[in-house]
Amino acid sequence: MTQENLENFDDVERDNAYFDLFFELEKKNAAQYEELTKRLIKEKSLVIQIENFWVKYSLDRYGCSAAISHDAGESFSEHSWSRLGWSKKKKGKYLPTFLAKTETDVKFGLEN
Amino acid sequence: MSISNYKIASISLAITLISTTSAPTTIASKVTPPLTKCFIRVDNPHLSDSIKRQKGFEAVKVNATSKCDKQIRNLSLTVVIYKKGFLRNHEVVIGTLKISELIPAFQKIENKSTWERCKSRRPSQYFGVAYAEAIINGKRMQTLRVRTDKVIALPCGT
Repeated sequence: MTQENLENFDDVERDNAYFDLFFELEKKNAAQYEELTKRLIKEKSLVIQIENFWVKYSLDRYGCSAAISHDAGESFSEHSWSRLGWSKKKKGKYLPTFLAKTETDVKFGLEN
Repeated sequence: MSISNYKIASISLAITLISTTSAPTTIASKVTPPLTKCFIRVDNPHLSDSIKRQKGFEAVKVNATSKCDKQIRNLSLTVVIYKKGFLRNHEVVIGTLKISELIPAFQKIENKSTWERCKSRRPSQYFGVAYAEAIINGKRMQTLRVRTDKVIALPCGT
């Protein structure tokens, strides 16, 4: 594979719709994300259902990964990872954004 | 060993090195071109205008696209955003787009969901890397990692 030309190629319409949904979920589910953050920091890993998908969140030393299952939790494939910081305090602060982002990805359509 | 002997030794070594390094060029000229042409395009790190316009905060974003001249299946197109560090570079965020269905030849696939919220306005230098994996003609193929053209300094601490 090779690299084609190098201009940025943002899709403004798509991004507006994506971030509208992100902000809506972040606001609407703030309490739920806080609760999930506490559980995740305590348990290090948890699986939740978002629409027809199962999402497995796993904390590691520096961040959190999200893996998605299309077969009711039988198998998961890596979807994303985000650096949150080493301390529990930083993880607690930035995990709600990561949870909102992952839910946005799933609800917006994983292929978009 | 006399000085002249040293000279002979170094000349012989130089000749050996030249002949060794020139050999692959001859071999490379005989290699047939790849049967599949796939392209990854990865844009430079930038701050997303959409987020800033809508909500006032900023996020660093890298987009990537992939296009192949053959139909492919089980594509995974991954984008990694790196921040340049003092001793080493740090991964900031990794985003993988997976499509298990058949993708027709020449269809462009876009990963536009790899971004990270700026936690401060501290200037940092970013670059992105993209790579893909897919089944082409029944074989699992993996691309090389394509790096963004530039390392971009952005007022975005992550």
